[in-house]
Amino acid sequence: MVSGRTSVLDLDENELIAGLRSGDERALEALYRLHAGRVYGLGLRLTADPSRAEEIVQDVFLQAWRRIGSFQGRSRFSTWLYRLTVNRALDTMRKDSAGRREALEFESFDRPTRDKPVETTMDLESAIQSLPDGARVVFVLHDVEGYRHEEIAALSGIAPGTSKAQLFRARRLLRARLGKPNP
Amino acid sequence: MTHPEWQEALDAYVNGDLEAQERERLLEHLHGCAGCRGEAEALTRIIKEAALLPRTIEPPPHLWWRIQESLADMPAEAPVTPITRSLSSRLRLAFAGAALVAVFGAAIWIAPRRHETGVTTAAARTDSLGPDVTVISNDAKSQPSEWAQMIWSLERESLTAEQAVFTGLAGHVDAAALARASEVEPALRALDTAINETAEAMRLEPKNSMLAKTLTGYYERKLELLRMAARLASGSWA
Repeated sequence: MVSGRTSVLDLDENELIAGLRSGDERALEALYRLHAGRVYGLGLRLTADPSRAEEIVQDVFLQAWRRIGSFQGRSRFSTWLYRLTVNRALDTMRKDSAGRREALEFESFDRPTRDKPVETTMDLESAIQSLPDGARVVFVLHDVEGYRHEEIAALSGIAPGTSKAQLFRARRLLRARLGKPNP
Repeated sequence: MTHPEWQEALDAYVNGDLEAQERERLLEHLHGCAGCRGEAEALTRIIKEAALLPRTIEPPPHLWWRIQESLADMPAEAPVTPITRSLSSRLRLAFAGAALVAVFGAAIWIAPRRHETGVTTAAARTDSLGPDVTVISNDAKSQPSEWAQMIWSLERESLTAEQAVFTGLAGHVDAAALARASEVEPALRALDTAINETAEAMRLEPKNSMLAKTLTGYYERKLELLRMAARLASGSWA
């Protein structure tokens, strides 16, 4: 339990997790202050949708609150939390795709997609957001977050080869959207 | 202008995956081709910039209040015992035995997984799997439910597939084959975590069919990966 005399901000993460296990809401708030930026950033980059990203943050921290019992402490808490985030973001995107009666474009790297028209130049963040879903997810997880293709494959249900192909596709689309400095 | 025939090599090059001989050939081409050189530089720049993007983006300040409101309607569950299981010493020894000692690399990447992975167990045991392996049941006095039996069956399949990995590793001391097989390991870890979490959620909501479907999907992916690892380990799939 988090002591009432101690500010939660003074506690280390293990103490906060213990607080969470005992149902102390202040521990959740402290963990939120520590990790919400990363969870939101990941959700926003994966979905390219601020309102979806907010829903993801909310769901992830509520899941952490409800399911802290399933966290065994073998990985870092942040790793567990970010994996919940990725799973939640992918679920959201699959549901959205189903709502649009479109498949999440993981397997469609070799056919025309709803790519936006090429613009002259963009900053990298905007260019990432403009990528098709499948390419964006793989690019964000691999090049921004440092996941390996095998991990991406396991999380998203695609083959590692598809993940690689999506990554190369994403980089080329970004290269086109960021402009061509070469002759 | 870039040359499409060099595109695949360029992708591998910027990824750091190109073998030495191919790399030399590509570098020779890049030396004389401004288009492909520019492409390589641009792709490399994107990779570097992506790695430097800030991981943190501040969420809107109202978000915590929304979470607090939801908490009021959703009290914390009672502390839950972490999931434990399953493939402990007896099975591990039966599968691996002395072969793991001989195949030095294998023990590093597979053995630790065996006691990390698993599904909470409560009731039914099976002699064929040994006393350490039990199946999910929400009620220790009841028969396993249909989904529990299905998951039990998948679990048994995954045990068989893991045995095949060990058999493959025991027959080969080829470091390259081991390295290839070990590439599957991070994905297996991720899946084991997902299986644990989903199984735990199912323990709390045993009638949730969506969770059962999700868990089945995770097991199926795990089986695919294990079969892939077995082929890699046995050298039948270079």
